[in-house]
Amino acid sequence: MAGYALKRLMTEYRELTLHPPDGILAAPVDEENFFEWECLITGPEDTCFANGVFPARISFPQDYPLSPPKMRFTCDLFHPNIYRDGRVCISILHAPGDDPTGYETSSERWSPVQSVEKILLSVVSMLAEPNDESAANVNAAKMWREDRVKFNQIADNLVRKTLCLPLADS
Amino acid sequence: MSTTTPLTAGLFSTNRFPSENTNTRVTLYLPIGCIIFIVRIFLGLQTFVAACVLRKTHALRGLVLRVMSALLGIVATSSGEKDESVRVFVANHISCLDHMAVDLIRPCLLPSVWDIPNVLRWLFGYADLGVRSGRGELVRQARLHIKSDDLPLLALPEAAMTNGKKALLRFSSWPFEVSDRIQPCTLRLSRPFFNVESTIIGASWWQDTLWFLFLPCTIINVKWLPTMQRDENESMDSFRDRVAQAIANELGIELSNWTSADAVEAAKKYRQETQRLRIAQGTPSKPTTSRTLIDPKRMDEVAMRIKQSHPTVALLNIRRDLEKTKDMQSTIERIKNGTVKPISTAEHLSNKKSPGSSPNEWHSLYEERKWTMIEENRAKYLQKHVED
Repeated sequence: MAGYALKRLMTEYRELTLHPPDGILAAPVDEENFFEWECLITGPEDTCFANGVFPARISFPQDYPLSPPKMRFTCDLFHPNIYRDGRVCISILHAPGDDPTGYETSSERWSPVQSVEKILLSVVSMLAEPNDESAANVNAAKMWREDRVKFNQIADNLVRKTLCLPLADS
Repeated sequence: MSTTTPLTAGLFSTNRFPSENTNTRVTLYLPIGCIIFIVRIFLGLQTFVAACVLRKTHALRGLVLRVMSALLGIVATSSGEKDESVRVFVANHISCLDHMAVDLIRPCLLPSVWDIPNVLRWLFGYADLGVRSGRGELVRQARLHIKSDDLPLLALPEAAMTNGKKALLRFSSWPFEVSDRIQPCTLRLSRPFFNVESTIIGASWWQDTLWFLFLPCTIINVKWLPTMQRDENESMDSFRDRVAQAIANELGIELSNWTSADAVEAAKKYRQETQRLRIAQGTPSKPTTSRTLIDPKRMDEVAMRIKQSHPTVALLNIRRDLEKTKDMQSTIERIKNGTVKPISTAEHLSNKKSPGSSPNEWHSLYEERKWTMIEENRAKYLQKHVED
């Protein structure tokens, strides 16, 4: 089982290296362990996260791609669909069986035809368009709805942090 | 180098040669010493065989071994009266051959505290009394031993060597639990003409032994003190302190609160300190203050922190330099003195090269793309905000 997972991860790794999608990078953390990846996601243009380069970790199960991987941002990210500890709450990472929120249709769920690239692209669009109906971070969802200026300000500071820039005065 | 530093509290020597004079003498003696040393290595092997063949209770053994160890440069002398009825001796610990010196005068066993192979232990004449199974086991087996075996036990309750000039380490209490009657003895070591320390802090036993073989001769004097008996109501600890005090008085030194664990710790610290000094002297530009190497997992984070204060330098270059120095401070210094170059066009060109087929190349490509991606977004972000 793990052998198949390894082969599949290797293929995806090659694909991502040879044809990197715009604004996305992913690779195993080290050559010893192909089940733990580091990835970088650029905040989409024309959003409050634009130009931010957000690092995250993806952990793959031994029976990948039957089960979905887990993804966690390793930087601070204030976003309605990201838990405070960085875990990403997105339908593509959930197996068809379990639905923690009840808002997802099974077509958006994890299945073996999905891939790291598709996950990362979904996360990019999630950054652009938060889904405040299935909130992982209630405060962020509330601020997103009610005080967009402040939300953008927080997001801007997070972007600056990922770019090694000093924080802007609020 | 002074022999008293705060690290050693004067209990341990830091330099083999207490005076410049000794140093000169040893240098002059070196050629002769080397010849003697080589001859003694062969003699030592024979002594070893003799010691193994003649068991400890054998009458001839004492004589044979004393002659042979004199040839090896180890002379044991004794003063005071040994008490043949006592089963446990306690002595201070000043060199790695202490037990051998006592053994030459009065055959005895030293409970092995090291985890060494059985064959080696047998050869050296140590007894395995189950130290590794804990103190309780040691005391139990030691009690059994002194009842059943002819050979008395020698205990070195300091458990670590000192220079024997300032103070005794705190005695461990197990010998005092084993027997109520104990004969303390003091060990003094002297080396005529060559006043070389028998041991220094952080030295290993084989280094000490080589010095024994190299120098013309070392005299270890064992002085037997009157046998001490634990009083009816006396506690183990106070008996222990009384014996320690007797030894300290005889040697004219104090009792210290240092335990053998403290001694080991001090040796470790001392070794680290000298190593650090050596590194610092090798590369004068580095500060001698304590430097801790960065955990590889934190290198990205540190690179980004450096970038914040040195924005003109490419992240990729910072990160690569950190890989080499593994130290934030040195990389910052290398940036300041120009070893780490600011952003150059060459870096951007290398980004264009096509990926190879091995995962190894992919990974370095990933690292390169990663930092370039941050660099480019950073530039774009700044551009945008300048326009705003």
